[in-house]
Amino acid sequence: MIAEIQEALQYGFIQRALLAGSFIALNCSFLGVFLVLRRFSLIGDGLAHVAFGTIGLGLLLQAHPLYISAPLVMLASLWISILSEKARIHGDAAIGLVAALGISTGIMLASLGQGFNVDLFSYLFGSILAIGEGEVVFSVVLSVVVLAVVRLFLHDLFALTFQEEYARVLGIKTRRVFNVLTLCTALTVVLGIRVVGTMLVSSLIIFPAVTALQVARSFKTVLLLAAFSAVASVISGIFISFFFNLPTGATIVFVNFFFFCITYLLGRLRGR
Amino acid sequence: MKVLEVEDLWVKYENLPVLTEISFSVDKGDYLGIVGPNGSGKTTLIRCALGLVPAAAGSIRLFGDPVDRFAQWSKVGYVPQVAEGTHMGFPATAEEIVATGLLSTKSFPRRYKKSDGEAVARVMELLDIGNLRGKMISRLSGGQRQRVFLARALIAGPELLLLDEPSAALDPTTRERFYEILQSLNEKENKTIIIITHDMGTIGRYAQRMLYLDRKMVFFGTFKEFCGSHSMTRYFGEHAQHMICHQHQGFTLDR
Repeated sequence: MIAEIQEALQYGFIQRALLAGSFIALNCSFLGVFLVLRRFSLIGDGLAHVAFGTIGLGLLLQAHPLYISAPLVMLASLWISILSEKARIHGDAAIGLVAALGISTGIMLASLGQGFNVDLFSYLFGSILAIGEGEVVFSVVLSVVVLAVVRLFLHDLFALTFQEEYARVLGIKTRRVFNVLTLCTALTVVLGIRVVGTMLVSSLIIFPAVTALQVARSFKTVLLLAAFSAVASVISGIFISFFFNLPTGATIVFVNFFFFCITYLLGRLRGR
Repeated sequence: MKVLEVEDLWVKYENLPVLTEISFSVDKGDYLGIVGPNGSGKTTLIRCALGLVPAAAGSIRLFGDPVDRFAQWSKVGYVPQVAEGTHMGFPATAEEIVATGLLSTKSFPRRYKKSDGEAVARVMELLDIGNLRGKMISRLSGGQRQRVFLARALIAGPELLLLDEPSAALDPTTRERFYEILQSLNEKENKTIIIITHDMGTIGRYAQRMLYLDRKMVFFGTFKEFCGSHSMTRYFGEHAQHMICHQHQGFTLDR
């Protein structure tokens, strides 16, 4: 098996997939912990629906879909934030509303530009093994930016997640910090689409966090365990899908589920 | 020196007034108990004083600054009302929660220093919860959690402490110990304390002044003045006032 892995590592597309996938998985895991604990994790799903629409727009304009998607999905994340704060629409309803508009836009654009239907639908399930060098650089650079932002706001995000009102009394600009969280999530979702597709990208955000929450006994260990499980899932998923000729995105999700089952059982055994 | 000044404050929810014509001030070193029945606006008043709820009219000044422009949050320690089960499953240790109280002393990007760990240990020892440092917050009893939140409020060395029903989850012995700690902070360290409570009998023994609220200010003065007030006798009835003033523990003001 080790020889086969070494052989697989010789391929450029495997190297690119592992590099981009690991960075994106790290982003998803850190952001996922805050989103899951704030009960806002479905924003990943909602933004992925929006991304479906913006990818359609990118294809219609004959530009690279991810470069068009990144700014537009970030705008949509701010819109969700504003709707849930100002328009008295609860977070889940605001996500549902924006998601429905996103997917409708995608369908509408697919209907208008009949020639790119196949391309658009390929983004539904991801294609990390087909990622090009330019996209790897784009993914890694943006991932490093997101990781740096999360590090800068780490304690603010913790305080906001635990008790928002108390965070405000600490002098933290909670609305601003929340917007940073949703903007980083938007960027990560766009990057994650390449790994597992719009249909499954929210699983990259949710699974590592809930996996870590089963066994972790401090916030620090939740972050570390989530990061480990996310990166391990992507790496294992890529190799398994390569060796057994399986769809990579779906395989990554199943490996994530496997890790969740292990920590769930461990948590039950420890009487958590 | 005025720590908190509230002047002709009105607060409305959905255009319905929940607080009307509230005016009072708190000096440095004061110990004020805010009492009143459920729904009387006690929590709203404190949240408004912290800028968490907007005022419909009137003004609030914290340490001389309008609350919407106030920035010296390390001077304020807050223990919010926390419903049972709120933090079920939250993956943080008591130590991690207490440390967040230090964030008000830091500017962006906020980072902890090595000495912060010692400060956490010190404040937790002071409140007899040193043994809870590594315990998950969700696994603590209501009383233990309340002391963790008090430690978090105290760690930055605030001049003003605002506590919203901090003794609700405490057994009688722990409650007495809790009030003794507050009294010691008030007397020895000259900390200003504002506490919301239903436990009027107990707070009457500790607070220098009391504010009785029922959507408007019904009474503001010392406990002695409260007991001697004929208007309060008319308001509560002779029996209730007698019960409160003779400090029968557990007597609450829900009418």
